[in-house]
Amino acid sequence: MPQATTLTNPFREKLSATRQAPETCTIVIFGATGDLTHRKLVPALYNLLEDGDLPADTRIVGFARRDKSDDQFRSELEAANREHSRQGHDEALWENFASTITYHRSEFQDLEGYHALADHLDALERESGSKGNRLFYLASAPEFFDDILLHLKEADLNKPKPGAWSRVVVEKPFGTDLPTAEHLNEVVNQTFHEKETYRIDHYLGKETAQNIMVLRFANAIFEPLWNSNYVDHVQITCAEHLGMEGGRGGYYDKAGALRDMVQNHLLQLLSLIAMEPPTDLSADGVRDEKVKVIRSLPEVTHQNITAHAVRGQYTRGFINGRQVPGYREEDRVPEDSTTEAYVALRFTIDSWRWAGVPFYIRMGKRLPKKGTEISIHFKNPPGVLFNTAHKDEPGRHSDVNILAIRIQPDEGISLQMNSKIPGTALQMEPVKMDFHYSTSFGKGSPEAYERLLLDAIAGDATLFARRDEVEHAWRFVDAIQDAWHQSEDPPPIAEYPAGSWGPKEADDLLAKDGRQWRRL
Amino acid sequence: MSPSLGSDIPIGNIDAELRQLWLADEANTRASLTNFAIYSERDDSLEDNTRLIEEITADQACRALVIQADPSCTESSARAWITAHCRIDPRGHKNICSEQISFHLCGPTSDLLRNIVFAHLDSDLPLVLWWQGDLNENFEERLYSRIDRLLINSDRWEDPASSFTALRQAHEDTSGRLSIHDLSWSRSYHFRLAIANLFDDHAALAHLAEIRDITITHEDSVPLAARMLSQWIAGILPDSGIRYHHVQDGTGANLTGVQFTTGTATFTIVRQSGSRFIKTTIDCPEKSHETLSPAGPERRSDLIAGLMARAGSNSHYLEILESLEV
Repeated sequence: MPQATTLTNPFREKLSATRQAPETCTIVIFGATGDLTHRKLVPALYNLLEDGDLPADTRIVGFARRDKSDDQFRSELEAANREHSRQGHDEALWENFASTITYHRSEFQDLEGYHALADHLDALERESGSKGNRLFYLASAPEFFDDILLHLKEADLNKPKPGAWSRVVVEKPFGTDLPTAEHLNEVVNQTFHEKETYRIDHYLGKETAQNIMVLRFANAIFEPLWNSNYVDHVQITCAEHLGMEGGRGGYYDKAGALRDMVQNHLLQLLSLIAMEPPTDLSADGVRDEKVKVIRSLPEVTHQNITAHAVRGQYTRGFINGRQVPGYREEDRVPEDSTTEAYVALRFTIDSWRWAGVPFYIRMGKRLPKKGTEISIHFKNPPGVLFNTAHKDEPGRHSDVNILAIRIQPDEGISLQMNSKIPGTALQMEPVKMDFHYSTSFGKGSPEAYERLLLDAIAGDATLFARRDEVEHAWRFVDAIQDAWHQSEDPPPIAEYPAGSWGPKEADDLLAKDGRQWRRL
Repeated sequence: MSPSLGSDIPIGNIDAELRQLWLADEANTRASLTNFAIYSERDDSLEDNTRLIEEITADQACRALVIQADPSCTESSARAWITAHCRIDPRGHKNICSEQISFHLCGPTSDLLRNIVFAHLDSDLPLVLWWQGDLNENFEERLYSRIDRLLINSDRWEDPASSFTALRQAHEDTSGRLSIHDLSWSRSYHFRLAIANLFDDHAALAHLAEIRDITITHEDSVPLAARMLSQWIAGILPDSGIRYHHVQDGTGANLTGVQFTTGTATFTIVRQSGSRFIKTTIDCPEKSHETLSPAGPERRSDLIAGLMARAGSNSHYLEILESLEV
């Protein structure tokens, strides 16, 4: 047989001028019987195939503890794909796709299972004649990450074959605090090189998150204003109307809003909004700038915690006309829980660009509606001519020009500006220019997991978190947790009725600065 | 003219008539993301293109200008009609409507065409022009220099060489700003994708240097799509005496197959009529294998709507453009 181990496919390289070419590989999913595999990963891979983006002969191996046959595993995935596939389910295409899926049963702690996996992968690669690229996807419960990584190493599965690569995708959470994140990162990096490690944060795969850099650096009109000279403040809101349905209270009460959402998703969005222009669009070029933002966050202490953070829990209230329980009344949540279901943060970024500009972040459960949004509030024009009426009113100094970036749902961007009300009198009202992804680009965008899986296969780590980003984010979050839980005089847990926009203390955090939360 | 074109109105009253149309209908919301003009010199093209616009606006809200020209008339004249195409928005809340203005132009066309197009655009929205037919003298600099995106269908050209020359000239005149999309090239995308998928397979890739013959099967009597695909392949594979064969099989505008052969291996890509998929077969000493990949949109309207939504700079097409002028 002619040798192809060092060849790359020249047709793939000439297909798209705008993205790296993905290479054929075998994807091993640990935790293959879990919810993530069924709802997200397999539908994402199927849709990549439907779009023609999945390299030919890509094989999928499910690794999990339950006993089942290949056919049984495929049938379960087929049922899930019918329900969750973005582009529907085609019988002929699924049959083709399913033939690439196999199931490997093993305990995560059983080294023999990994040796057997190695034999299974060798056999698949011999059959397909592929050079042996492998992508290991850790979709299991995080407590098994150590075992999986150590056993991959012991079975030599972390070592790439000649001319091939071996990568790992790690699902969040990347630890529960800085020490556990450092430990996980140590284990990951003892097994795989950092450049072959892909820490997935699905928020970064969303179109609007990717569009933040385009908006900032591909348009000449925003970047000159993107600094403390023109920006009054920035708000990032992540609102959930759901509570602890489906037994989520057990997990959530161990995490809380700060660890569950702020440490990863919201600080990632913050870093995209506040970063300096990267020197290039390489993964490290972008991530070097992002991490500088996280490193520039202030040091939160027991003494200054109340100036920076408010935590809260919802009490009984109404969502969509239905009465819902308070946080401490939820299933699997202790009656004396001190875990925050709401968090509001206020801080400045210690950099030349953002000196003195407050950033406000809030995330809460049981808020009136679901939505994630970043809003840039520009300073008002001078209080002369049209603006004299409101120049001394508190809360009115930054409410005219607002650039809102909606991450979900209804992804898009709107810009608010003043306009004259038609008529003989000179009266003004804010009006909105609105861009919606769904209507401007017709057909639906790929799911975040589609983009991220394809990037991992193509070796593009730009949209994945690097070790130092994760650890600096934990350092910031741990200081807040420490002030809440280890202080001799911890700040109280604020309360808010379910269905409201959060506790009064969070409103006061902005009111002290003469500002208010934006109404979504 | 067909009633599907809507109300016959004086050209000078178009804006006022459109305002009336929307004032009289509170149940519908006007939407427009782009100006989409279609120019044709073909008889009865107004009706045909109106049907096409109706399909396209299901995905892409636009202001449509549908123009049929008859340059052979001795005296200049113009007629206009307005109508709207409505659909329920994706959330089922309201009727979203795109407006269509149709024109029948008679007589020497270039000045008249320019005026008609530029006078009836939605301000500040991009202008996509689909020029159906050869790029003749009416396709001139003062028109194309103000277009954002040009759609053409080269496999319908009667004189491809001179039209490709005109196209390259337009690209040069606009310093590359004019984004060009040839439907014939766009239709071949899923074949190119299938070829890339085929050689992702390492057994197939190992035989790449041994390829001696490439046979492209097409339906069209003018095998432009086949020529473009050959040029694309030739630009990738080293020039080592590969023989290219174009075989006609059918009467449509589509590519139907590509076969790569070596002394010992055959790699085949086939799209069967009506199938959503392209079947790829690897047959070499090391393995025999079949797989499916998407065939892309079958309907013209889906292809156009896709180009309007997602078109990029199309740099690979521009690389082969010069070779198509002969």
